[in-house]
Amino acid sequence: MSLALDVFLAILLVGLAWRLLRVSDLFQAGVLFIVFGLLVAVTWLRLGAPDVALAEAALGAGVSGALFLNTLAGTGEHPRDAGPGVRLPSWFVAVPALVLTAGLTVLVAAQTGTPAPPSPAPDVGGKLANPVTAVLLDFRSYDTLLETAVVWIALVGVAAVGAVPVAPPEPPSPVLKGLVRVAVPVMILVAGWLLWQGTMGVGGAFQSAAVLAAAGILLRLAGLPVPPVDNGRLRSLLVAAGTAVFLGVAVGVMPAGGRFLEYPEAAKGALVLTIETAVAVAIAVILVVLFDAVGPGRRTSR
Amino acid sequence: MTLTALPLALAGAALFGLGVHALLVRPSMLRKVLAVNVAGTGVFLLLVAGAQRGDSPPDPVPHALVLTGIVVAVSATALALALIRRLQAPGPGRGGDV
Amino acid sequence: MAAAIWPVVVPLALALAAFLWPRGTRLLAGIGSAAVVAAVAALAARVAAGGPLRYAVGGWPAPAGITLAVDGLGTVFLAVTALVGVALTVYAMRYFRPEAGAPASAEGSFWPLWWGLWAGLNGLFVTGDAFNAYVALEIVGLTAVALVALARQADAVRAALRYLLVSLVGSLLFLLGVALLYGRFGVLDLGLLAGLMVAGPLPAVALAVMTAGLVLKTALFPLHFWLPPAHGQAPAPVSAALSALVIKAGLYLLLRFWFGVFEPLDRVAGTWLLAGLGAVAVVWGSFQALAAERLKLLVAYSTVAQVGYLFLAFPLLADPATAVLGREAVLYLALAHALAKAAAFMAAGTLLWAVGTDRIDDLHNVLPSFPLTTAAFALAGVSLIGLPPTGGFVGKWMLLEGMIAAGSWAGPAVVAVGTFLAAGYVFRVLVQAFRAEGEPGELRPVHRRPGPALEWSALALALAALGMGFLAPVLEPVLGAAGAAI
Repeated sequence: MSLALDVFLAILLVGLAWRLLRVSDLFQAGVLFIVFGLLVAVTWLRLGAPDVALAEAALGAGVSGALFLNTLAGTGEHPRDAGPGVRLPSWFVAVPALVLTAGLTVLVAAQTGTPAPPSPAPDVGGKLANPVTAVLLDFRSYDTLLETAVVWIALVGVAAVGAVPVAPPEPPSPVLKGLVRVAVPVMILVAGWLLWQGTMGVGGAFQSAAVLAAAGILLRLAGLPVPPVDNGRLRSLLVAAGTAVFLGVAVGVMPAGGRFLEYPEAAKGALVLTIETAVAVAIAVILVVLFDAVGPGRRTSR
Repeated sequence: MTLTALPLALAGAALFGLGVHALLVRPSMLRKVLAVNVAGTGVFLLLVAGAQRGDSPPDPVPHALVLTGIVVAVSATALALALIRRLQAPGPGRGGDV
Repeated sequence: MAAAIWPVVVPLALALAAFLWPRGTRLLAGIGSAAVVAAVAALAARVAAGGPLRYAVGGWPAPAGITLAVDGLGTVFLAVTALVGVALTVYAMRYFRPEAGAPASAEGSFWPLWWGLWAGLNGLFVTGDAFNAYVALEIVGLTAVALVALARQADAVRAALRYLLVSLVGSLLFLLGVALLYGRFGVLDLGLLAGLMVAGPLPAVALAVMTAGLVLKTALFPLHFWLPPAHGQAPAPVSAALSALVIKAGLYLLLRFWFGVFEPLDRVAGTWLLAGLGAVAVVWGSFQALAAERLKLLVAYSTVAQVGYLFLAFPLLADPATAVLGREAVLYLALAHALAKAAAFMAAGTLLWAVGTDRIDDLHNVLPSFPLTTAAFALAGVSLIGLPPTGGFVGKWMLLEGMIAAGSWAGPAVVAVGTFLAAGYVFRVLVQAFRAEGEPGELRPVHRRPGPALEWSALALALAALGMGFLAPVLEPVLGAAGAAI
């Protein structure tokens, strides 16, 4: 029974991807992309990865989709699929792509049934009971540190290209405004809860950041101010804070005799929470600024 | 890898192939961005599905890797979209259809 | 030893500092480059004295955590990155200094990205973990793309966008390989992976897709199409960094995987395929350089050609009989290219900056006005051609030695053709530079005086390329030892 469900899910995923890559109206493609992302989130749940599901829904579908649609708004209404990009004949590409897919399929199928190698992540009980958080912020924290740098770099890159526009005052829809005024505080609470939860159950800094960012984007769409983003000095500090705090902790634990990123056991919970908070806030602010950057609006250089 | 994860792993392979194909064939830059994301999702599916273990709880390492991958993908997508947006800026050297 | 992490932490901290304190970027640049060089030197000293270094970040040894693994190969790449990095920092300090009244925006954005690029490169060269390598690759990719787009003209932004998509596909292919390997072996640590590796269809496919991705990032023919616009349109110090350093990131990983992790596989056929593509790259790139109208585009196509030489050495590395020669050849060629190409781009950039054009046909009368810059370009060009006594010559000599030992005649033929064509395009530029139009001794009218920072930094790197040749008796054993890792 469950196998049939998985097969159905797989077919749906591939079908949806096929459609969104073919439909000529880019707005439709964008919407289908969001639906696709939500379906992928369901897939992660099916594969026993609730943390990833949450991140996929919030970041992969939600934020990416919002960025894409806002870009469409910025570049003009429903552009058709035309453009200056490299365009190879379909059959020429299709053959190698099919060969590659077929090869991967065969390899993957051949792996079925062989027992998977044991997980390299040790089963440590203790302060970080959520195993994914443990991997992200303890065992492989160095990767996560670099990852926060990647997000920050994307922001710097976008600013470097020039014109991080100030979003224009949207004609305020009183219904939207009222809704947002109620929704945003709730979302902030949810984000905080996700952050706190992350050490024990499903959740974490990135999911929290996505919810916060969504709150910020909603405020934008309702024409309401977003203080952490609008205030230039505060914005600069906050976007750098994620990587800076992470790096600070990473180096700060060293004089006490530890290695880079080796938390002292007693302080581990507090340090991880500090890092996660800084990262969540920083990434949230960055995502809202990125949303602004691709949208319509007055062009002002940074 | 367990049998149950097989259809989804195969979907991952298919998504990768589809994404790369669309990237090379569709001329619109915006479409190419979507295509790269689809291909990325394909790789992530292969990562997670490939590390499923029958009855024991799944290996958290691929989950963490995919989470990192999603964040990186969103960041790169944002940069790509900003560049596309920039090409539309009015003034000298204005870009054409994007 | 913590020495392994500082070359990554210092530039990363500098990037954040430059971002938060835009007014202090010049001070940071001066102190910062010294600090990064010191960190690299300390690490190099450790490795030279004590052998390969392993550092378990976070106190978790592999396979649970990420281990940094620094051996001779990594140290060599770190060192050349530091050398070129310092020269480029000096160059950029002058190049991006805002003119009176001009906005400081380009300068403000350049420095965080530049330090970020350096941090990413160093992070790649010290890591011992496959997924960590992927993240480092992304850092390098995104910073490089943003740096190309810094020029802000539509052409540059278009080139940057194409570069971004190419970079993302390359990284995804690499990640796909990592995913396949993890699914099969359950480890990400390169050392452990090498230990567990066995020949088979899955490892072969993993190697193939990773190679496809890395070859895309290294711009090997025919996947080089993105390079000339990107390297040609970017601001000069960025072009220098891209051709000299960023390209080497892909090469480094290819060497690590082909001749380290995937050793048990039968790689002979694969190396011949890569060498074949390299041969085409040498000829094609050189012809395109010969035909280029703009100097920066000429230098960019030269990179396409020079990358080809690096891959010509791959079959030598797969055969134990010629492996030693192959290693030395690859390293010598890669390092000499880094120095010479950076110098060439810097010189070209200075000319463009000072004179206002880089159309080769318009670059007459350049010698008397810019003797240092012309000398820098000439020296760099000589190394790129491969004439004695430069580092480029030593590299090509070793390559030829290896090819002859392997009994190949096609290889030396390709090298000969490439050398001849390179001489063609280098001398084409020099002939123009030396050509005097108008009154004898008449100087070239300039937009702006370049000043010592721009001219001497380029000349210093060009002299270093020359020095690599002179120092061959000393360098050869060092590089041979470093190459023992592959």
